[in-house]
Amino acid sequence: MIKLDARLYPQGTSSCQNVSLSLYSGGLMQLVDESEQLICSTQRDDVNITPKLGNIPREVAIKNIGMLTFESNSEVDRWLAGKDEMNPNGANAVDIAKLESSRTGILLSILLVPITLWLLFKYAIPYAAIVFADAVPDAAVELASSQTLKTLDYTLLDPSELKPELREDLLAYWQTLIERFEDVDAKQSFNIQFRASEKMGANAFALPDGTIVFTDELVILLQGDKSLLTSVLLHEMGHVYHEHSMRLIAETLVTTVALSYFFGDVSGILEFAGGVTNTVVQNQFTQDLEWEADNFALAHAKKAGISENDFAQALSKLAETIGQENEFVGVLQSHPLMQERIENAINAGKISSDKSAVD
Amino acid sequence: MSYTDEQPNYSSYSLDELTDALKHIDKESYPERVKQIESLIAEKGGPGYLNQRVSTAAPTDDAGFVKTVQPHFLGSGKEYFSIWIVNLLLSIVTLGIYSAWATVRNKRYLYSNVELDGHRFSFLAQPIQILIGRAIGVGLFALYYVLSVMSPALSGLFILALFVLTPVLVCLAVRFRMRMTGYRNVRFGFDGSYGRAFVVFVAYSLLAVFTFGLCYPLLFKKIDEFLYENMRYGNSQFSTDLSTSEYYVASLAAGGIAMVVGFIFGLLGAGAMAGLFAISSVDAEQGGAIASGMAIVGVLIMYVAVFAIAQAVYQTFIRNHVFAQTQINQVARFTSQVKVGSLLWLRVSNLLLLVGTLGFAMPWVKVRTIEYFAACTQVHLLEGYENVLANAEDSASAIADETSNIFDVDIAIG
Repeated sequence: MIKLDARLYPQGTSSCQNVSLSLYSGGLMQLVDESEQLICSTQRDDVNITPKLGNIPREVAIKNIGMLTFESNSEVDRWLAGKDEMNPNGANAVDIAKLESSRTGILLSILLVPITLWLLFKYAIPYAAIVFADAVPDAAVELASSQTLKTLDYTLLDPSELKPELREDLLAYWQTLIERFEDVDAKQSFNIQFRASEKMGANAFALPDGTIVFTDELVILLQGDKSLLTSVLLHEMGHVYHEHSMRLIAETLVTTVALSYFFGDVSGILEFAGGVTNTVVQNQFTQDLEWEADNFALAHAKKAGISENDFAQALSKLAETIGQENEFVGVLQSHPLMQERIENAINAGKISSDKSAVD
Repeated sequence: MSYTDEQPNYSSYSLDELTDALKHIDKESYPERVKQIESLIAEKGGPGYLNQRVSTAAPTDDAGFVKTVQPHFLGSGKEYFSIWIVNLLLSIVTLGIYSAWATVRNKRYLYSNVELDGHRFSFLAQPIQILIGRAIGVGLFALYYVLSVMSPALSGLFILALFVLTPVLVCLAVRFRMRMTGYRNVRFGFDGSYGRAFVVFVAYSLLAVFTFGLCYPLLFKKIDEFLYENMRYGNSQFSTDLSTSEYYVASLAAGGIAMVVGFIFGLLGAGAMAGLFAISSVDAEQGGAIASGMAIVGVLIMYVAVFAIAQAVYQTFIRNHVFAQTQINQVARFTSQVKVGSLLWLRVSNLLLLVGTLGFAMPWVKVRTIEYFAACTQVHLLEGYENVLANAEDSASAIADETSNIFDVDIAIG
């Protein structure tokens, strides 16, 4: 039998009284007040025991009597966990409190938290995003694409002011290229559009259903050069081929939820730290996607009848329009650094020309 | 000299003398005398005299307080760290499912280690309530996100619906937070009506927007008033008497200081940039790159500094004001003595701690914050604080028989 002093907060009021608690092996517990009057006698199984946590006093809710709190020791904790001579293993299988107070548990956690977080954001979430993107029905993809284009037409884009001959010339030039890619993946179709957009400037973007939009400003910047424009087209086809739009949606969604649930309930200025983390993690995703699209373009350059250097040139021209950049900016922006992308394209060109020299 | 410890004959005192005696008596050493004086005051002034007097008394007048106590945090950053990190790992490896259980353990540790007048607070939520709330939150967020992709027009409607629903969500969230806080086996509560919440959150928000922000302080006041007036501890209602001018003063002070600091930072930044360009004129390209990098770092620091200062100023004004003007009827009055400088230092040092340790210092940050606010707070207990009644569902220990209320979920929206 264990006897200890406890506080009873009787049900229904904010009052408090000192009591004496007796715990018997077998699960009987008895409560007497300061004048040794019995308050109640009950069984361990009939009360609600709040799980042990750190060194805070233990709490036991007794139906219709009230809340009991008392300082515990290991003997009392064992009794509350249902462990006694008759039942040495107790009822609880997992003892979180034990893990929280064991040196090994803590050290292991310090080590594993960064590792598992890294694995989660670097591999698990991107992988889940691919599964998600594959599972999205085509009808939804088409709806999303047409709605997005409608919204963009309404807000950022104007009808193209390029000469119709120039547009038709480009479309005709790309027709065979597109057919060849559609042969590879019968499901995939591409649809190329031109729009004027002062606000977006020289740019091209792909919608998940295979619609690829070039801005007039980009065509003018690249002086209508078919090889350079084709290299950009290949990059955008890479986005479509790898289902980047849907993957990005899934990744953004999951990251935001994960970060707020793991590190949630922060307030005020701490949110700023959280916001930066979220931005950095998400930009890492988009940067990865840009690399994937770049490498798709480089891998298919030969097939499209252009060289890797065409892509490097197109990137260089785009780089001139965005000005200086440095590595710190790199972490905070969604696209990889232009300089690195250009070097990547030039290197790809070197490797492939080395190969053809050997051949 | 006859400094005897003999009890004065209070029964011969007049009402004013009794009040005076109560004011100056050493309440710690003579609790029986305090009780006797109070009962005599009650006799002479009629029933309810003490409470009437308290509710009309100026906040600085301590007559009628049974005692003044200060909250203390009894836990330690180290102990909390071990709980936090283990639960964080479990949350990650269960892909977030366990995070509801983790939240309960984290909050229980923090709540149960706040002691006031020898009794501890408790966090009473069950993990499953938090899990359901999070599922709803994720569902709504995902719905919005998918809608915004599929159809921007529909997502606009969704935002509008959410704006109209905000009052309901706020009421539910505050209600949950209050109901899950217990002290002396009595739950706090919140009875704000959706109708009133709608007026405050939607009508006053629109008013603030359409008056080009002139009415924002009024909106903040109305929100605080709505929240505090509808809180209760057991069956004891909170009452509050906030002043609109305090909110204007706080907002103007915060905004003014933010503008001055922003301006100074701007000047410093422009000066630094000019200097940098002058030095690096030899290698203009590299200089430009360094300058743009520094500009971004500079803007970030400026943003944090301005935000931190404005927030510290506003919070100091408003917390001190709200605490001085709010009471729990027949239970407690409050004093808050937050200072702008120390609060600012707390916020900035917390941010530096977090950034410097890549987030590992989170438990210490939370403990420091609780300790800071505890040290700035005094609670003046009023006659009757031990006799707060709790109806059946307001007893914290009644959790066992309470079938989980559908509204008792913590709907987690930003």
